[in-house]
Order: sequence, then C-alpha cells, then structure tokens
Amino acid sequence: MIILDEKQYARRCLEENSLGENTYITLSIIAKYYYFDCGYKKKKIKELLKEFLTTNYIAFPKEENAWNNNIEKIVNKVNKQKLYEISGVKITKAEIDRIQTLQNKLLEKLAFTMLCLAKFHNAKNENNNGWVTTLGKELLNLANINCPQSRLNIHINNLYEAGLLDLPLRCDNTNCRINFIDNDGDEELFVSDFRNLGFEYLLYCGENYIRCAECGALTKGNKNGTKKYCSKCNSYSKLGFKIRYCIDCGTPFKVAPNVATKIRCDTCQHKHNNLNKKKWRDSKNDKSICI
Amino acid sequence: MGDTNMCTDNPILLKNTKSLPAIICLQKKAVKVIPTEYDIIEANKLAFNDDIGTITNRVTSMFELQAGFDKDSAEYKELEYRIMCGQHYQQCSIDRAKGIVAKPMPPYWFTSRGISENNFSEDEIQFQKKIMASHKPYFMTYVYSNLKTENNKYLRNSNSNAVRRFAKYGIETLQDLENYKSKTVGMKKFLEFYKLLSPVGNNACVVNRIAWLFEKEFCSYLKRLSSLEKNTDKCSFDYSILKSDTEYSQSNYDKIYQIYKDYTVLLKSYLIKAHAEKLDKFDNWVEIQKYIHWFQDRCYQVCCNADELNNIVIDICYQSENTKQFAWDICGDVIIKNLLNRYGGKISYPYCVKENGEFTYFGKKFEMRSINILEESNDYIG
Repeated sequence: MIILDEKQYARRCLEENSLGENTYITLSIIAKYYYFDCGYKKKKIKELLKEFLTTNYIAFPKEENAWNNNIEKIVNKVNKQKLYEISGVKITKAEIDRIQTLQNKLLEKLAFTMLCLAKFHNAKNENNNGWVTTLGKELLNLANINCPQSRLNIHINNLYEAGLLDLPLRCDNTNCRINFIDNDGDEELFVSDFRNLGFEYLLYCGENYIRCAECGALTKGNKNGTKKYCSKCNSYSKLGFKIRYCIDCGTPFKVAPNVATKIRCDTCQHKHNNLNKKKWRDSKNDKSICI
Repeated sequence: MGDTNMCTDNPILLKNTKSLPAIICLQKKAVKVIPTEYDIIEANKLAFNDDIGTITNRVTSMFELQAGFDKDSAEYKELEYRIMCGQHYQQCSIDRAKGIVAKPMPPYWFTSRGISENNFSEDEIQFQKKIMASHKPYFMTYVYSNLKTENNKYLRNSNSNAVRRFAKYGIETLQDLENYKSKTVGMKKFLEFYKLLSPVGNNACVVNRIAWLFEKEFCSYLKRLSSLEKNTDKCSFDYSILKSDTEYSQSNYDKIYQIYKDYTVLLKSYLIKAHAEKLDKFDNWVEIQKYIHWFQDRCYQVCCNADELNNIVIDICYQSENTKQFAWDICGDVIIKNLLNRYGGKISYPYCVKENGEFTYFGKKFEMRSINILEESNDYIG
C-alpha cells in the first residue's frame, strides 16, 4: 500500500471511519497526524486511538490486550518519523529516454514503476539512494504486469543486464537500486497517482487509457472513446452509511443510507422522546383537572 | 551422556559406536548444608534460564561442523576435543544451579565476537572461524519453527537473487547455479557468501542426512498426493445432504457472509499468533472456543432459526474450496441432526471382530455395523 499524502489519508480515515487496508499502518498514520498536525500529547493520542478502534474495529473488545500493546508501540515511536505530505514524483526526460532504450513495453513498464518507487522512497528518506524495497506481488500489481512471481526475477535480470539497476552484495537481500535517477533534468511527467503505474507509463506513451470519472484510477479506454468508469465503479455499488450531526448536541452519528428523517443521535432522541411523553402526560393530567 | 544404559545387537549401532575412555569432569564442591525450603527455592531460581540446553545445542552444532572436515585434519581433532569438553561445560552449568561459580564455555567457540576479543594471530583467526559453532545444524529446523521460517526465507531470497544475477546463463534455481560447470568469479563469490551467511549448518552429519532422506521420500509422496487431489473432482461431494428444506433470505445470507469474512480474518490472525507464541494446546483450544461462541452469538443475532442459519453457512462454505470449519463451528450440531434425520437416525461404524472381518486396519479385523441412534436414545429414555 503506497500512501503519498499521509495527512490527507489520516483525515479521510477519520472522516469515513475507515481502517484502510492495514489497520496497524492506518493507526500509525493517524497517530502521526495527531502528534504533528494537531499537536496532541502522547497520552491523549493513546486514548483517541483506542476510541477510534472501539467504534470501527468490531473485534476490538476481544483483542483489546493485543491492540493495547500495538497502540503503546505506535505511540512510543510516533515522534521518530515525519508525517509525509508528498504530492507526487517528478520524472525527467533523461529518465524516460533511458527507459525507452529497452525497446520492450513490459520491461519499460517495470523500469518506470521501479523508478517511481525509488523516487518516492528518496522523497521520504534523503539517505535512501535509489533503493526499492517493494518487490514481488505488490510490484507486479503496481506495474500492471500479469506474470508469475518467478518470472519477475528474469525481468529484473534483464534490467540488471541492461545496466538500469544494481543488485545488493548480500545473497539474501532482494532489494534493488535504480541507478539512472536524474533529479536535475527538466520535468517530463509528474506522477501523483501510484495505483496503476504501468498504465501511467502506457498513457504517457500515447495508448488509449482513461481516468475513471468516479475514483480517478487509470483504466483501458474503449474504441469509441465513450468509456468513463473503471470496472469497480461502472456497476451498482452499495450506498455507505451517512454521517449526520445531531440538532441538539451537535455530535456526528451514523445513519443507514435509506433513513431520511433521523435528526438526533440515539441519546438525544431518547431524551427527546421522554420529554414528549412527559408533556403528553402533563397535558392529560391538566385535562382531567379541567373536567 | 549417561542417561541411558542399553544392550543391543543392532549391527548399525554397534558399527557406529565409538569406544572412548570415560570422561571424568572435575567437579567443584559446594559447602555441605542440610537444605532448607529457602535453599531449594534459591536453587530453583538459579536453575531458571540456565545454559544446559544451549550448551547441548552448541555441541550438536560441533558434530555437524565436524562432518565437513577430514578425520586427520587439525579442525576435526580440535572439534573432537571441544565436543568432549562440552560435557564438562554442561556439568558446570548444572553446578551453577547449586550456587557454585563455574567457568562458562569460551565465547570464541561459538561467536565471531569471541574470536575478535582474543589476541589470535591472522592464521589462528581463520582457523577459529572455520570451527566456530555459530549456527544450528539443518535438522534443528524441525525442532525450532522460527529457525525453519528463517531458513526458508533465506533459501527463497537467495534463490531469487541467484536468478536475478545469473539468469542469462540459464540459471533458474540455486541448484542450477551449484551444478553449473564453468562458474564465473561472480558465481563463485555468490555461492561462497551463500554458504557463509546460511542460518543453518548444512554439513553431512548423520542427523542432517536422515533429515534429507526423509525429505526426499516425503517430497515425492506429497507430490503424488497433490496430483491425486488434482485428479479427483472436488466438487463431486453433494453437500445438500447436510442441509434441510428451510429457505433463507438473501439479506440474511449477506449478513452471515460478512460474519464469515470476519471469522476467516480473525481466526487466521489468531492462529498465526498462537503458532508464533507456541501457546499451550489447552489454552489455544479455550481461546478458539471463545471465538466460536462469539461468532455463534453474532450469527444467531442475525438469524435465530437454526435450520435457516445452517443452510446459509453450508452454502457459504461448501460452494468454495476454502475451509469448511466455519460451518461445523457454527452449526455442527444441526448438520449432524440433518444427517440423522435423512437416514432415519441410522449410523454405521467399524466394529473390531476376531474372525471374518470385512477389512483390516492396523493388524486388526473390522466389520461395519449399524445402529439406530434415535431408537437407542428412546429406549434409554424409556
């Protein structure tokens, strides 16, 4: 999972009450957001994270001990890493030219993806020096290459033989180092979406790819040029829960998509009902006195 | 080491038993006291986290290292001496539990830091590094699951790296690289590092060879099994016999499917944790039962009709090739009830007989007998 703008990601998770793909990573990012952006103390962050898990993670009561340890770990090291806000990576003309010397679309896609990842890691850490640690299935997914993982090693060997990357000296280290990074050249392409890097390269090469009108992900276009949505967004998708604010206390609460009239949170609604009942009883008593 | 006295005429054991002079370890004497409860508590505390097992493992590693040298070599003889001394250090470790201050095993026997701390000459450093018992032997991967995981990861990564570096020479696995005839300098260096950094010792000592023998045998067996599984049609099982005629709604199915997804994720993460922490079997069972009850409650909150719930979980689990555990955990009793109803309460079971059995298992003869559970239970109630 590549997260470019951690601040935005944390805000979105908090707004949508979402745990993301990996709960631990999401909690770490939210903790960093609270620490660096909101300026909260560690004790408060711990409480907020627990509250967040209680409302959004169904098995939290059962796994409370394990998650308490995780939260402790996350909060202890919250100040050791920055909250990254990377808008994207800049690809220069020289780098594109170097990739295009390969004359093989599959290898070019792979080299482009690895270049983007190396630049992303460089942006996160100045001492990274072009190393790419995302390899295997995730790399294949990002590069939009459909082949078995064993075949990936042969593709990497082709890039190594072409002199585009260096391999580590340790025999059990599977990372690679991209050696054609050019930070000073003119910007040719700016990549700000890391979901389909392979398609991003093909789009740059002039192939028929479109951005989904709903989610913005790249997808293959049709011959007529009428396609608008990716396969995930083009079919029926369930409406999610809506967030409303209570008219009495102002706290946000969840409502099912088909509920149109609920305007109070459960606690306020209960109080409101009791008040109404009381009023009704009082009015009844008044009438009896009148009679 | 003196734990067993045995007589045997087994030629293999006789051929491979070394006749060595008995080792008498010099034992330091502690002050003689009549032990009180406090002394026993103290001895118990000292015995916690002792090195006896660690020293035994180091000596075992020395056996494995020894298998890589000629019998006449200086390394072999030095290791022979260290193995004998290993018994002494074990004795010392036991003494420590009695409160005696005893000498530990020299660190340069098993760590490279220990070598650098001593003032060895350059040649001696090379010699000591060769016979340093820093890695556990390969067969111990079957004892320590963490070591197995580490070794498997190392093999997998080394394999990938070998292909990434030398695929243009037609290398597709590490085995290909080892068998490659005209090795380049890079290849030799790679293999040298591969052997040096391996988390386990791969010399051909006796137990390592036994482990490899077993692996070879079982590897072909597992291959046969997987091919057999492929050939068998997995969908041939008619799971409708586990269901009843009750119909269910799609909305309930969707809700239960969501619970099923939670179940697979939570149980998987719990089992990984339990395996890593080597939890006690009973504790593990208790914890899993808690999960099951919790999921049962959630399922019955969605659908309180047991037959309807049973049909839903059967359809969820048996339509895919994933585990069927969820169905049996949530509605195991209902499935059994449905099966009994379908066959009029009759069950068949193998019964051990002395003569004329229908089939033999484990040297005993069996025949299939039937019993009507419902009638039997009614009789019992009556």
